[in-house]
Amino acid sequence: MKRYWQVWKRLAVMAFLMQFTNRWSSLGWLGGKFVRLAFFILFIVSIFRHVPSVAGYSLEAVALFFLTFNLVDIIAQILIRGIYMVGRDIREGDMDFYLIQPVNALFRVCSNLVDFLDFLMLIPVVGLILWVFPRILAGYSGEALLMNGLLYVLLCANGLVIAFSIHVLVAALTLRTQQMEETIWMYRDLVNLGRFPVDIYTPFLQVILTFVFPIAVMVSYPSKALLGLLSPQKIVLAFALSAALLAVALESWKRALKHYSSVSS
Amino acid sequence: MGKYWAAFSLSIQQELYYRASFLMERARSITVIIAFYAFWSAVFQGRDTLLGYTRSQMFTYILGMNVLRALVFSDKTWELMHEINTGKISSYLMRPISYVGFCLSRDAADKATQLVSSILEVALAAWLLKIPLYWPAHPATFAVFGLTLALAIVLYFLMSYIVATFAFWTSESAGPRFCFELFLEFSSGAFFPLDVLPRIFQSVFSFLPFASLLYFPLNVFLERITGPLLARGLGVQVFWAVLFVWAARRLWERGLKAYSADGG
Amino acid sequence: MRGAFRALFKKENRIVPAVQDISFDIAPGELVGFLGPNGAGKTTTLKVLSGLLYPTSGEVEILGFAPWKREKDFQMNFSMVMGQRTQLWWDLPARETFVLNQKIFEISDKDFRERRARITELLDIGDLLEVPVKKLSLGERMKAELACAILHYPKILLLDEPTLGLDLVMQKKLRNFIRDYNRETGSTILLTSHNMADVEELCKRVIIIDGGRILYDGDLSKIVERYAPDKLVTLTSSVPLDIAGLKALGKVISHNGSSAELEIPRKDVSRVMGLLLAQVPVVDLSIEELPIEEIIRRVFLENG
Repeated sequence: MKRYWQVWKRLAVMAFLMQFTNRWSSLGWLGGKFVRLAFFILFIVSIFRHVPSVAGYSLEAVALFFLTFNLVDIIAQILIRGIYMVGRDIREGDMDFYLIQPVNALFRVCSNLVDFLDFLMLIPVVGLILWVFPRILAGYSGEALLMNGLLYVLLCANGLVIAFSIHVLVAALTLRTQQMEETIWMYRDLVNLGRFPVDIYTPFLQVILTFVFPIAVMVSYPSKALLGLLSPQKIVLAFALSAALLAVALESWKRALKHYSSVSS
Repeated sequence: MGKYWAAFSLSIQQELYYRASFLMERARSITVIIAFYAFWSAVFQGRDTLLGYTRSQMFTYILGMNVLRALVFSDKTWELMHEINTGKISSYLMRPISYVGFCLSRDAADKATQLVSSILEVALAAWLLKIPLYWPAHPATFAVFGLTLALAIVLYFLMSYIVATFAFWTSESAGPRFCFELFLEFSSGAFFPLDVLPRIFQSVFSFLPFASLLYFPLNVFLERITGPLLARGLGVQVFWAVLFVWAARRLWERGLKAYSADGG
Repeated sequence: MRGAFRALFKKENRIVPAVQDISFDIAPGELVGFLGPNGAGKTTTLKVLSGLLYPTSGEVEILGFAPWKREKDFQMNFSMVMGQRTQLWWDLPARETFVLNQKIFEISDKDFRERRARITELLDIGDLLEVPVKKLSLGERMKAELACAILHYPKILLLDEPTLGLDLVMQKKLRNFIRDYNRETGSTILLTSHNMADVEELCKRVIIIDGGRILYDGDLSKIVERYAPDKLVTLTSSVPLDIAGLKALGKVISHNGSSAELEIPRKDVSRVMGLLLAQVPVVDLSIEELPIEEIIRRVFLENG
């Protein structure tokens, strides 16, 4: 709806204004994120000067996994970063305002903290992905190209849905108990396991990362699809998982809202 | 001495109560080991040595990363910076306990809790996954390792406090602090051994105080750095420690002056 | 130390009923006051009316909507100001949050400009809008908050302790504004306060709540009649007063040499005045209603 787009844009601008008032700090954050990205890329490139492949993947493949992880993670952060502050919103009474205003409270919570720096970080990530694509897709037939490329995009979107659902679940729990916030920060660490292709992990861990915390589905599957390594069953699994997770998450949120008694008074 | 012990004990209690930040720190370290242990296992498929490390050496490095992160890289300077920014530091400065001593006790508490947790994690991992570990062949290694470790702790402490003083002059020190910490993690070898990177990086980081924080002590333990290189490394550590003591003193004096001038 | 370890594993909860039996009807355009001590259930009632709380039993209907359903058409016409909390973004000037509300409530640019100008003028907050909200004083922030809350000209406005913490001048300004707004737009306004002056000046009708129940619902003036059959007479004379003689005329609240306060039943006022003026060389005399606090206190005492 047009109104929601307008409100989102406005929230993004206001968040930017706030960042701008602390611009040196913001530059520091950007610097840190950039350092992290640069060093990891340096690491991956350097490793391949000593070994020809890792878990059967070439440099370009490993780079693709890493970059896709960043892509999904960054876009997810752009869209739902506000959820990290849901505990504070509840404690300080902002939640009450969200609930009495004619904008979906969940949307409002998610959109409260759009980080302009994330947009900036997207630039090198997308740039590098575009650099890697031709190297991977060389030799693909036109049909395979289209198919795999489409799957890549769809599975990235799918990953976003999963990220969103996980955050909403934690937000719902926070709403109910006002105590679950630490778990959302632990999510950040778990997602980082997706930096490298999940094949490096033991089968047991891979199962966990697929069915319990679907990190693998979120960030590894798109790359696998592009490399033509994803079976149709897995593709179906990916979409089914996210649909189920989304349904559970939204229902949890609805129920948590019903039982919400505004804390501050 | 008693009041420092009280501060230490109080800090431990606070650590456990503020379980959030404690758990976060542990979760982060654990996921780093899991990711890199898996990565290096995959890399070591079908080979016994890489970059001059044997299997056991590399895995010991990875697990050692976790322990040394807990011991060297933990402190409460974020809190310190917050205290400076919010003016809380004033109440501490007025008490009959040296603020530096207080900070040291608080840091020691943080290190103690993180260290215990880290050793448990690493022991559990090594046992569960039957990870081959490397133990030094010469008893003297332990002593020298201990020395380099002590120097590393001192070095990080000083660097961290120097960066913390920025809080005296600006309320926007969180971002730069984050950047500093991240850069330090990579350049000290807290994510991966510096041998992976092109030679130039290794050389530069070894001369600068960064590698001294983690890479150097760990490699002493692994007995990959001995003799003249070891002496050189120790020299680098001492050099920077002395330099930073001087810098930290000056900056703190200046900072406190600026702080009081602002009306505290 | 052991306590700290336990805290790692357990936390506690309790449930307390806030409101037991509250029913009322309010007509459009009314300006109603809710009075009651802390913990009486005023804020809870407002939260139920706003849809923040889901009533465990009973019905709530506002403008034909059930507030807890949080339907868009209801919320577009609704607004609430909650004491000292603010929806304004702390680090930014208030006008930034105004624009956010413009987008949320779909106010056209033209309407937005006009209303903003009008409200700014009425509340006299022109310069304040450019300053980061964190730099405003409490009174200035309340004005900005109120302005932000009514930009969309809500038909229903709930004000929870709007004058809390404000100085007398600011209180008066806010009250004038609320009265003007009510008159000009015909909006329905509910106001909670434990500041009697707010209610006295703004509300014809008042609902008194205590212990989660309604003690009184009706005209403020009728309360005065029923619970305050006496008037307060304050007199000062040129010579020391004969207290015993005064006591014969009415209840002596306080006395101090040549001045005294008396409570005299309304019906007796003229008679007693005549006697007083005849017996005492009066220098200064005033006849007032009992202070509202005293009247409310009697309401509580009788019904609590």
